[in-house]
Amino acid sequence: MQKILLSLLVLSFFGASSQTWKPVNGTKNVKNHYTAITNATIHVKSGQLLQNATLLIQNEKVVAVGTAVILPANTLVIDAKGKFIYPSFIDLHTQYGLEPVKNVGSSRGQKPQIESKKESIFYWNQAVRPETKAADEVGPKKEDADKYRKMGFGTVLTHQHDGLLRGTSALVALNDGDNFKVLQAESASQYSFNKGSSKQSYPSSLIGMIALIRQVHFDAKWYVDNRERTEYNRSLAAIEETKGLPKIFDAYGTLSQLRADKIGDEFGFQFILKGDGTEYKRMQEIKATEAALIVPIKFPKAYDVSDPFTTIRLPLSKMKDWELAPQNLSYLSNAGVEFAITSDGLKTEKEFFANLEKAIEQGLSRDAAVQSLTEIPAKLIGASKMMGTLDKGKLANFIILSDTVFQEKTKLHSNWVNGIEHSYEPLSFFEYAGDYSLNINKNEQFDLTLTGEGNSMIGKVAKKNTKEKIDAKVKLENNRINLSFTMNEKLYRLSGSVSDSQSRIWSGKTLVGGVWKDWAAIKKTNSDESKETPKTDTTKIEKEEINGSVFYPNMAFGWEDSIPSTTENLLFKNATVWTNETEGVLRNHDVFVVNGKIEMVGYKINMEVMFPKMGGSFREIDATDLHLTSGIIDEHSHIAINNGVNESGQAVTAEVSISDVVNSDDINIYRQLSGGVTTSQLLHGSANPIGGQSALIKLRWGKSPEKMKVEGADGFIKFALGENVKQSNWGDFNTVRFPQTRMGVEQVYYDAFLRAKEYQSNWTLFNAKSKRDQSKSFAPRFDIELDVLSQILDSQRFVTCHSYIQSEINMLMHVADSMEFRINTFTHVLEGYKVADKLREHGAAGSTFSDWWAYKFEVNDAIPYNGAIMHKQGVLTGFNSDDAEMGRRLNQEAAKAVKYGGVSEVEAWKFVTLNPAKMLHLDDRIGSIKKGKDADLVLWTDNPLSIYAKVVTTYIDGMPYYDASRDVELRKKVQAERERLIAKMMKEKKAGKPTQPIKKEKKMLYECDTLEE
Amino acid sequence: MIPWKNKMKNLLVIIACLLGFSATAQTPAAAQSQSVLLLGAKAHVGNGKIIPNSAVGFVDGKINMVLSAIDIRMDSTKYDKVIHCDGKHLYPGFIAPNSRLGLVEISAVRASRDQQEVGQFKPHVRSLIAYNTESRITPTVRTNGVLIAEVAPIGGVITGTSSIFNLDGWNWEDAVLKEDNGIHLNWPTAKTSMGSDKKKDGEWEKKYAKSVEEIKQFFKEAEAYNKADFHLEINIRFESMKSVFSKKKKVFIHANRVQEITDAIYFFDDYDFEIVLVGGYDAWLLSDLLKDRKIPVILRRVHDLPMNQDDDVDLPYKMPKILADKGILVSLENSGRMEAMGTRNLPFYAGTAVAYGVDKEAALSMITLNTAKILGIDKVVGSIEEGKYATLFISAGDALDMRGNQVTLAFIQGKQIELTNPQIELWKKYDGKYGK
Repeated sequence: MQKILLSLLVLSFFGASSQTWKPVNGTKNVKNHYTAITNATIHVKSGQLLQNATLLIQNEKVVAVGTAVILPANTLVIDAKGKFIYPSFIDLHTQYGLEPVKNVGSSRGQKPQIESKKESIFYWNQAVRPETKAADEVGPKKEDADKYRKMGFGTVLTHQHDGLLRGTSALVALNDGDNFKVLQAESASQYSFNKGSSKQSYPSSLIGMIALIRQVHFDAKWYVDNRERTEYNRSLAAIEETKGLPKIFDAYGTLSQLRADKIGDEFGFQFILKGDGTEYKRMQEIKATEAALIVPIKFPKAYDVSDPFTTIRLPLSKMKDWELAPQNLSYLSNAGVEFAITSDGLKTEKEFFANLEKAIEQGLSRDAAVQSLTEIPAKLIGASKMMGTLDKGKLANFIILSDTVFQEKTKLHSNWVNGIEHSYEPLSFFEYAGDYSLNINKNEQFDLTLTGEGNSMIGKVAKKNTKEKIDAKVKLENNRINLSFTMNEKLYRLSGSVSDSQSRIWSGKTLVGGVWKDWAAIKKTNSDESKETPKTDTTKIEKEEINGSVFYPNMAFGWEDSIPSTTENLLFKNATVWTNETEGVLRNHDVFVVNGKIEMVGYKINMEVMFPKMGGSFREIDATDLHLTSGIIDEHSHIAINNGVNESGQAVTAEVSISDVVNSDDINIYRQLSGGVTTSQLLHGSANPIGGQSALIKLRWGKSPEKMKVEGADGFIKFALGENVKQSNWGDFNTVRFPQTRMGVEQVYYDAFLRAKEYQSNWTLFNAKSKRDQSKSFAPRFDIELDVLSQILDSQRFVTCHSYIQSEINMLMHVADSMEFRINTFTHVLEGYKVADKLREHGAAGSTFSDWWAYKFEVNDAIPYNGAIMHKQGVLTGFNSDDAEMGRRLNQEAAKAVKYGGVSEVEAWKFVTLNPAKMLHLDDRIGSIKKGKDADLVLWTDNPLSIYAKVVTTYIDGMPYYDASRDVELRKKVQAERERLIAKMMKEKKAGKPTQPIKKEKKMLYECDTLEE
Repeated sequence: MIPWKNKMKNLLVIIACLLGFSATAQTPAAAQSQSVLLLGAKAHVGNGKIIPNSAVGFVDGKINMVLSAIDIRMDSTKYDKVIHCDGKHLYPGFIAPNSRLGLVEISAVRASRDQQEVGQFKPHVRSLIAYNTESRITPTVRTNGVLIAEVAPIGGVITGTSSIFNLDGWNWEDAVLKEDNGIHLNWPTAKTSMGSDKKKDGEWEKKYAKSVEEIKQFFKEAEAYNKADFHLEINIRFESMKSVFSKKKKVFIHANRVQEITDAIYFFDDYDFEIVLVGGYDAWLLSDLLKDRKIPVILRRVHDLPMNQDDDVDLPYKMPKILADKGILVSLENSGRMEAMGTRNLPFYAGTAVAYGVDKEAALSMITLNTAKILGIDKVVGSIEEGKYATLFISAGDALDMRGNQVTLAFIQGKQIELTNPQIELWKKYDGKYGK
């Protein structure tokens, strides 16, 4: 460690002297001369552009920059007249010079690896590798370095893309061989939501990864606090040692960026967030993170939309992403978000510059683009003193361009890294192109035209004053010329040189009949650049094209531009009102909603008398012949979840939480709204006895995940019993994880809760100590899993348990009784009817399916009368979906309680509204139509239990998130937007730009037993 | 407001009665010995017509009278048994096509799965002999009015040969209504999510082309085989195709997307088969082609999510209406998740079709007469008409709605079947446990 720190120290003082510890073979070869690049336009830094200036460097540093630089005697001068110099670029997201690792992905089809295979001095999970140091592994890689240099990069930040905590990244100079240098050995701590090469079962999902990242940080803190009393752990020590470094999170996708930022907030970090270039989707939230970003500019290619039938499969969201991606940087820039640009995902400099140019066309300022590649990345990793600008004292890292940066015509002449030149296009000042009069031996006259760029010129020759042109072979090297052509079967071979950089006069010799003769050419005109301007015309047309706006969410049926922020006051007139209160169903009644809350239910409310102050500030809705109910509440849903509903890596995963992975951009939210659903509990799956915490959301379509969550709701957690937790249907490999029987399941619970009790008493003892004693004693380790279990024991968190068979339901109630807590809800509970009396006695609710059965052995005795029996026996009963399809027909499922077992319609309706509200402890706010409750309401065309009933409007907090007539308009809008984008893509295809084929969308519909993707 | 309370009492009485005479449940009924007259029910004929106050008589398993009781003064003495059904509804037995009933008992238990044989081309594999008349699922389906099912194998390209069963019987010989009615062919998938680069895309297209070529080859070889007068060696796969070429078996093509449907239809243009499209998510885009070829559609599950993100949220719900309006003969099916046990929800798919614009009686046809026509059994079942089998039932209310679907009496070929099932028994058992 000391060694590394020492070397870091030494490297940090780069250029203090060129002293070296390396023995020299031969005589010492000191090169302390200066190099001056003169007559250039120099972009020193943002806001400082010098015309006709000089950049003076010595070895690897800038010595001076300005318009009146005095050159020392020992200066090599390079004339860069007409050229442009910029500080070279810095890429913060690369894996340069490191061996990429293979991501393992799903490990199904083999025996699971539960334990870590690394030594015990490392963290117990192989996906956590903060001790990794890119600087220890990195080395020069000529081909890759060249790729980056051609893009204009001089330095890159590199790290091994492996694991959740990936260790530290190193800032390296892109020089080859001996000149390769690590400029800053430990520049940043790197994080990601990608498990990488670890084959360990845990974590199998995004929720597990998030929980693990949290736990590691708790462990690291505890490790430091109790350092003297614990054994050495290399991983935890590394976290402590690197805690002062900037932290970069590779959070691919906008929602994941928000997730990463939230973790940072919890631990007092501000992550730098590397995204996927779709930040425009949630600009407001991204801005609110106050994070700096690292943004890729890999834009999707246009889709091949020539086949209309195949195009049906291409969702609007993808088309919009195609159109919006190049605008992303301009969105960010306008919002005032600080960002660095990375070339991540791009293979060639052509793509890189073309995409930057595209971003600039779409509104990003050239200066902002330069800053995002120079000053900002330098600042983000604390390397501003070294690089990012061309101020005196900085590294001589710069590029020389033929013109202003980020234009198609602009060429990269050379890329200087730490004072070493990498030349790509000679700084040739010879402007050959133009029309010449050519005279050979004073008697033969020709017209010569040269077109092209740099040294590759195409020549055409014609006899003077004739039209017929023939090709001439031109070979150019600096100011030397070789010109040859054959005319009238006569071969002309001319050699000579060019007079000056304007290439005004050529002169030389040619061999005619064995005798050397003179020849000369005089330039008549320069090639007019405006000749080749159709290109700018097309860009003009492109600019005139209208860009679509962002939808919220950015897909079909999303809100255009923004979601209305204020709700109207509503008066529903003359409805059949299903109150779910003692009044039952009221015919011809009015319901008045103020500020998103139910204000009054009454018969013919006289507004002038009852609410004289309202005036006309409400909207009246004629609900004659319509039914008004409270919104449907789905107690058991798996919609709107990103990257895995199950953390299946362990039997007990109380530490994970679905609220970390709510996906606001799931079309099924809108579809469920169209079926009258307003609130859903997003549950963890049923892969393990103690699963994860749930998320309670209102289906506020368009809003961000955080804004969908029900404010101040109680916390819930998913437990599971039966075939799923004992992995009965997981194939022949999954026979290792405990438990494999119902007997084992019980013991998992006892073990977990006994551990939680011990944990609680450890903390109680510790907390009772004085501060002084606390500092001397061994503190308990904060353990998320045990903390969550403690919350259950303290009745601060509530259990909803996936269950089927009566024996196991009975068992879990015994476990809970002995641990003195209550199972809040048994979900599915298909044999609930067999133990309805016990459920009632325990105080557990039953949230079941209406009529599912026979899909597993354990549901062989499931009956559709289950709900009716439980209800009759006084168990709080509901029907849930567990299925995105059924979720939008829960009203029909409620009707099955009437059909199977004869529950009254009024009570059956509560199965999907008030009763789940009670199960979720939200019945003081939702679940019935009562003064003071949230206006989560649904207007139906018919009795909601009828197969013929359709939703007219679904309101949440008084706001119509789904409306059948608006939906008709939206369909038209979706079609119009699709057509606009299809036309735009067809145009791209016609223009010969590359396209990509349409792929079938990967659909991820989660159910209880869905394992990782 | 709660019209059910009284009706429920009646229902409970009926069910209790049924339980009374049968301790061991679901014994197959004996052949009809007494003639029966159902009087006063609102008869939904199945062909689009309604007889508000009907008189429907049947003897020896066949319907011999369908009249309006209002017009005709009835001589009910001709019938051994007269059942008054005033205020109730009479329906032809619902028909579930493309079903897995009797082939699978518990989806997760391998030993109980008999729906999918190994291999790609298996016309010789027959659901007929695997059909389990003792399935615990079947009685739960009958109690919602589904009395006939076409049972088809799945998996591979030609999945096998289906047969049609009455949902009552001691064994498959006893239960079968039409033996080996058709072969089922899963048209290969043209393009899918394979890979993310062009090369793999191309590979997938090649794979599709190869799969289609294999189908062509199979039919060519089978045709050649069946043209020969005698065979030195018997190929039982080709033997089983003989009845396809003689049009005794229909060809059910399972396909959902435009390309697959189109390719399949043009492929079969070369053959004079009776073609049925099963699935047909994109069929509404090809209505002219389907109409031109007179190809009927057994439409995929109505209660489903749209397949494309941008589709109208109710596209699956309104598809029956769209196709019917285009003049296509439509039937509804239930394959997919929970398919065997979910067969009992078939009537509610028709209900949803009504909610989304189909006329009520036309929607009923989609699970009765249309299905019978498509399966080739409309001469004997599918509607309440003279000469057809008395496979019909009485429901207390509108059988297409959960609120009305209460089957109180059901007959299969005139045999009065038991209307209990293992689930009702468990209900009674545990309701009894808790007492009043």
